Amino acid sequence: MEINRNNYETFFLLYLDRELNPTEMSEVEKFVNDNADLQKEFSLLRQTVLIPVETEFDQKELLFRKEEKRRVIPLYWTRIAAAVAVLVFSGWLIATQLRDQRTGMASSDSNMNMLPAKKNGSDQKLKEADNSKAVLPDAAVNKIQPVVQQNITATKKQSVENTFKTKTGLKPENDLSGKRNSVQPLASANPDTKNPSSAEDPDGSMLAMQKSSAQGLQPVDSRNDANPNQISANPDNHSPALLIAATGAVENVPHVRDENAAFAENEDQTDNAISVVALNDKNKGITRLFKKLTRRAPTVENDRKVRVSVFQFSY
Amino acid sequence: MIKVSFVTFWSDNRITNDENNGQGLMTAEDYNDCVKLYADGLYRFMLKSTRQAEDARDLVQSSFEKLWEHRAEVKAATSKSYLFTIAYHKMIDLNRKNSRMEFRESLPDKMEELPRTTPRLKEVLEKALSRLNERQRSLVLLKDYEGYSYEEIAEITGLNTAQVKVTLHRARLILKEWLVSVENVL
Repeated sequence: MEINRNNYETFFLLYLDRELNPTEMSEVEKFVNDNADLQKEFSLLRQTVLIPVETEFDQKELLFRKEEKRRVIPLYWTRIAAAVAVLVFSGWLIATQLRDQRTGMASSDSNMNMLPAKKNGSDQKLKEADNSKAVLPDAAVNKIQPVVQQNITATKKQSVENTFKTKTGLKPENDLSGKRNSVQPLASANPDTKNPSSAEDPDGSMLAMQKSSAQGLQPVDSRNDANPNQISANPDNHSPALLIAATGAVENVPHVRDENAAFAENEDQTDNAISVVALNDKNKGITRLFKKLTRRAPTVENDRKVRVSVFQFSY
Repeated sequence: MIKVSFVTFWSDNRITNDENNGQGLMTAEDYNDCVKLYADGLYRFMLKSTRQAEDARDLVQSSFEKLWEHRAEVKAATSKSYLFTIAYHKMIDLNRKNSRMEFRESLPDKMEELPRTTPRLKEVLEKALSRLNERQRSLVLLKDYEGYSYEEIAEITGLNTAQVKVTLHRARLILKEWLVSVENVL
């Protein structure tokens, strides 16, 4: 349709609304030039077009937003491999530090080395008493306690060793190594007491491991036999620390269990987890903290997760 | 002394904004760009439509609030249109709710009440806008201030293109008549 004197108003308005193509716009401009009597009307209509005014909204700061998103770190197999490497290195480092600490402590303060002996001696002794249905003489129990005190005397230590000797039939070599000598033979001579729940619980090895930790560390070989996932941080020195590396690419990753069933709530944990924890004995509070810190992430259905946790507790 | 150190990190396969980018959906960055680019124009549109600065600010804020809430459903390329659509309908709702659109009261009904000095064209047109009804005014503002096409205006206002065209043309003719009448008086 071409512009003419009957439809010019519509074309004028379309022109002012910028709804015409360049060719049509040229035709309108030519029509206005050719029809001087319509130029005033065209001018008036053009004046109805509003001229944009600068208006500033002065509260933009109220409008800006930040994305509140969780930081998501994609974890691929290469990264998992790297994480495992870091964990292995960390385990080695922890073991080294513990060995160094133990060496330094042995030379500077022999009493600290006796700390595990206290636990080992007393617990093992009580367990022995229960197993044999025998009651320890009060004197024998009382003699154990001074062993753990810092101002222990050779006489008292000797009395403890004598007590072990009477109950186990084994002979300690000397004062400072009495702890080891009292534990190691017991572990090997009485394996049934080491892992009483292994038959009733598939994770009994871990339970036994925890119990053994509470009782005092047993030789590494025996623990490793019980649980291939378990790695000793300090196999030679019988460190008070217990290093556990549990890795799982499948469901139901084994977890450390506490005797008081503090971990029972999390038995159904299904996410993949790589955990390393160095635990000392008598650390139920810390293990609960560990459990709290390593609880599973907020679950979203069909989410796959890989968790890597590294804990180190050093006294 | 007890030292506890731990490192733990998680990984999951949730959809992130990075994945949304592939679909052209808005991110927080796109949203903030909208604030920078369109807040002034939207405020101007609302201010001219309502003539109430406080209402205009509230409408702008609530419109951006809604845009933020629905950013995951809005493509960045259409964010401005989406924003103006929200604002337009909020403005209509507000006007209907408060019945504040009594612009004639703020303007002289009689020509003799007009300023004696010759007003500038811009001021005359500002006042002439009050002669338009709500729909006409909004369409003129969207066309002249924001440069939207008939189709875009139709999308924003919910009208069809023919209605937009007819409404706009009627509004222009009303404005022209107003200009002619003012010129005749002065």
